[in-house]
Amino acid sequence: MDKQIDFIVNGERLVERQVPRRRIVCRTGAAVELPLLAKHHAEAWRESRTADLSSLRLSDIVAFLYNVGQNWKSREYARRRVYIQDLVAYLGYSQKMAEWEANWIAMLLSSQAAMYDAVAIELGDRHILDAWIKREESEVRAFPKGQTLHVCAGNVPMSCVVSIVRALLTKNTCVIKASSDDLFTPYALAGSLMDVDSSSPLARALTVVHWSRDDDSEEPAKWAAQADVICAWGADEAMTWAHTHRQGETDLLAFGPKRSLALICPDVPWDDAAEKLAFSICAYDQRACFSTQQVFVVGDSEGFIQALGQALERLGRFFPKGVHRFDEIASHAIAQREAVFLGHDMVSSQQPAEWTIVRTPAGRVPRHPLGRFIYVHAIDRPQDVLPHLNADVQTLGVHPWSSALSIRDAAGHAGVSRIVELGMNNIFRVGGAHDGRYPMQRLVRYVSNEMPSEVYPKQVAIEINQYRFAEENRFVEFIP
Amino acid sequence: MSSLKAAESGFSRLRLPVGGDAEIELWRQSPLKVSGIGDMMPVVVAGGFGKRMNHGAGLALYLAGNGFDVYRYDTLDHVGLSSGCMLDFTMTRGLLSMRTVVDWVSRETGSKVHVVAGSLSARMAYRLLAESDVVANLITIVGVVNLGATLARVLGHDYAAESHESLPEVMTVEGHEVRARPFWVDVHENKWLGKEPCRDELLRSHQPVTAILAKDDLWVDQGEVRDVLTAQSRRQLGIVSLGGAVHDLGRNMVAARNLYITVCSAAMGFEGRTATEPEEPSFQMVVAQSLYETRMQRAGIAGN
Amino acid sequence: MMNDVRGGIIEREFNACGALDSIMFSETSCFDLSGSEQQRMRADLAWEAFEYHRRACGDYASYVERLDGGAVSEIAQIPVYPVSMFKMRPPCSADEGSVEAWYQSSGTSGLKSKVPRDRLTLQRLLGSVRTGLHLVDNWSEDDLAIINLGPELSEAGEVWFPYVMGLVELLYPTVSVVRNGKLDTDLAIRSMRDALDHRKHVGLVGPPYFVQRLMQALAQQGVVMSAKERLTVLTAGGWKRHTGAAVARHEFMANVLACFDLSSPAQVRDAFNQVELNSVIFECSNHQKHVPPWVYVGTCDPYRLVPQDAGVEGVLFYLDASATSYPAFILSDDIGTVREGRCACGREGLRVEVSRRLETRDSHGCALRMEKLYVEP
Repeated sequence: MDKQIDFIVNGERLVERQVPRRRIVCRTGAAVELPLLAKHHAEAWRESRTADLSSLRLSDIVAFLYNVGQNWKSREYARRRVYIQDLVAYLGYSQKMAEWEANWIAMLLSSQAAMYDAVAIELGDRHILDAWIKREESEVRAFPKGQTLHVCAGNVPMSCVVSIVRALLTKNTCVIKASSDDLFTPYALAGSLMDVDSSSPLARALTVVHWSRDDDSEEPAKWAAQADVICAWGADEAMTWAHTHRQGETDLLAFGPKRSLALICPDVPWDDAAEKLAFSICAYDQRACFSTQQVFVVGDSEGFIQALGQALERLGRFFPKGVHRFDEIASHAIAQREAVFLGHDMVSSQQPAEWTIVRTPAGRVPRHPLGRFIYVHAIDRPQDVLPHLNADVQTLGVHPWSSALSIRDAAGHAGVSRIVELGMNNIFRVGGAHDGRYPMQRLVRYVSNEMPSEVYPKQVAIEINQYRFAEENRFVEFIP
Repeated sequence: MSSLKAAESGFSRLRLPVGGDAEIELWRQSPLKVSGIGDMMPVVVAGGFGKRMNHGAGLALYLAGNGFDVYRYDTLDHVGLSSGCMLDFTMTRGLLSMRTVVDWVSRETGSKVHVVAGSLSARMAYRLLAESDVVANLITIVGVVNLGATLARVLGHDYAAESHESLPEVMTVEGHEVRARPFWVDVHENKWLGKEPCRDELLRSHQPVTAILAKDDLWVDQGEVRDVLTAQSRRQLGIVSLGGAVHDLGRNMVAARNLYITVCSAAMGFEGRTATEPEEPSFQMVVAQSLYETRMQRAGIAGN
Repeated sequence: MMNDVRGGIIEREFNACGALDSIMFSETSCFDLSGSEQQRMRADLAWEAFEYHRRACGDYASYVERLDGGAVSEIAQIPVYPVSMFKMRPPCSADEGSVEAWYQSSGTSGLKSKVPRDRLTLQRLLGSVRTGLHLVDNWSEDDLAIINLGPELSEAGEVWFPYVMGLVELLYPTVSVVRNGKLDTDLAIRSMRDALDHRKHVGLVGPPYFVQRLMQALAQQGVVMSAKERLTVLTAGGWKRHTGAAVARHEFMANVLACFDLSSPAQVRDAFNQVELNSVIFECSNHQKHVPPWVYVGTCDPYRLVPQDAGVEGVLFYLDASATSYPAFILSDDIGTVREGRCACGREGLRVEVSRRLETRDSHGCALRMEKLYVEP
């Protein structure tokens, strides 16, 4: 029997059994049914909107999320258990991968210090959401933009949680459009807030709906029209939708398609590098923007390939590959044939389509099938990776970390978003930017309460009195 | 990639008056290159029954590409752009068309001519060979030597044996309607029937002949062809048999290409150019030329 | 070629065409041959082509060697290579001088396939069109007029699909109604009216999206065209980048039948081809795509790309013996099913159903634009 999912509107589950429903067959072949987005959903949302997070302090929000996170941390938490089961049964995650993801959600929600640090770094001060902070000749406070719409991707469940948490920390209410490829994470997250306190403004700030990419009715556009900020994650199609449907003043935070590479320098133990690289390949089965798709090895790549094969094989035993669709499996096999035709060296798992390593001349990559498929390029020097970097590259994982120092300027100029230690691709360290910006800045409005004239500007040791200056024609005297 | 342009330069159309109001549409394709051995004799190409000039675009291009000045025409009382309609087709009018064109070309160029004739036109050409002193040589393509036998196979019925009164009003030959009585009256009165008249005509002529046969031709008996052509022993005779080919050679593009090369070789051989392999135009050129001529032909058609 | 001199007569005999061309250009339809005859021909021609391309194409020969040393015992095992190779290292079995042109795909994904074709390969392509039309009807040149919802040949250039469509003008009188890249629906409507007035039958040929646009124009202009049994609509090329406008096949057919007031669903047909395949595959009256006997089609499993039995859905692969300038032994990006036996139209032989395009990583969360990734060697 198909799993029934209901929309959540302003923190309340909207149980509807008599409405037209959409059936979505998930990756494993199991199916989910949920309502077809209709006019009454927007009406219900407008009528029951009460959440106003502006009166909350950041500490209230962090504390609430911490409580949510503590539930997620508990292996006995029913919602966590159901979530893990759903990832396995519908998205084809292995048990280990599903638990890993639930743990990351717990980690994120429980990391109070990281939340305060993120606000401080991205907005300038961790109190700026609650108070006016002196900044030179003004006092500035960050106000929420108001209503956010999150168009979620299905490749990395955590990305949906990150997007919502950013919005809540900045006191914005959230409408979340769940991805057809992950119908579970936003519902689980919203439900977990309701579990802590369903009357809390934070729980009531969340609305979770769904529409499919081929929904050409006017309903999806209405939700976009309500938003002050659209946070769009995913492929070109999602970006295009967001660009097309945002209204004139609506801001767009786009996290579009990216790829990631790795650079391995000589004089490192191959086994260590191979393990780290294997992890960055296998996490999310390479579907994430930060998943490594190509690795540039300085010096002898053959020895490294042997080590990598062993690492992938070992990792596959305790972090098995998730269920893959017919097309993904076929793409993997076709990519292998491409390698054979082109005469590239290839090493692959005994079991078909588990993992494959292909050594090719630097930069020459056919269509990438993902699914634990890695292209290895031998180069002479670390700098030889630079021509292969551009704005499509999100993450460059380097090993050892110190090798970043000699290339990071050029890599930055080339368009790379972040340079990390190999194997840390999925951990966005506090202080780091995301795809070239600090996203929270786009979720707030900075309002400045500027100092009065009796406060002297720098370099002008006199009270500002423009009337007198004009009368005495003395403006030019005060120009430094 | 070679250009998809037709050989429009060097292509021209003419109308030849033939007494009364009748006119023959004539297409000329000038040589696309210099042959290197001085002027060669022009070539007159006569298409088979039911064919229009544009069906010979490929052959004309091959010949012109090897230095020949090529003339094609639509027979009177036939499909195509010349006067008359197919209903009134007869062998004698066909011969008249051929003779008119050959004589005109010879006069215009001051030269004898090569004649290339296909199928039924070849039967006419065998007679012209005996009557004309401006035909230097003849190349036939699946040439008919025994009109009665061939038509009986094509029509599935031997109309030659029918009395005048029992003939139908119209007979359908390869999808084209022809008035039966005038046709067969002409055949009988002007001795077109049977292979003996053909053999007699070939006995009276001595010009070189190259006959190109299709090995799987169901309409022309290869033995009869040899029998008729070898009657005149003083003639330079070439017989080329194309394996895998049927009567309608133009239908098979691959066989047609080999046919064109063979015709060029034969014509070049008659000019003493036996050491040279024929040059081929590119496929794109053949396509472009075929399209160009086909459009022209279709634009000129009015129920024809 | 044999020279036989008998008393002053010079006789020569040579094959004007091979077995494949005899079948292809025969006056009788190859689709009327029995299934076993077609199977035998298919095998003979595939083996011959395999041996030929192993000798003539170094890239292909090396590929065969790398795959199990080239041990092949049945034609389904003849090694096929991904069509993506035509974007990266197009294999060629002909010397450069005999290549007429490198034909390109329409390139909806950015990078284009480039396929070398020599004279014989092109002639056989046209032959496949002529043969395939036998499945639709046996029109003479004077019977049929074509309205081509594409550019004429000179405008098509080396872009494959419009080039193939443009070649049809060699067979039948044709009006091409795409001028400077734009579909001229007014011209199409005028030409259709004119053709229906003067010809026995009219063929409307083109991509389904353009047929749909034409139908929309007719509706907008309030033009009624009641063609009854005198019009055949032949689609080809799929919806390509107009996937947003795509409608299901049965709905499309119903719209066409209604719009042109056709007498029978058999008057709406589809044809399949791709630039890497040298034969056009047409539908019969039962809307099954019949595979000509010089082409073998199979499906393979997604894990190891092992050929499967007929009737099992899988990744489609083709062995097209008609191509001489490149080995047309291709592993496609399509998923489908192959069927054998007798079709409801009465004919035997192989049929192919192309279900859909393989979804690549473009459908994943973070897709990549191929043209930015690929670096020319």
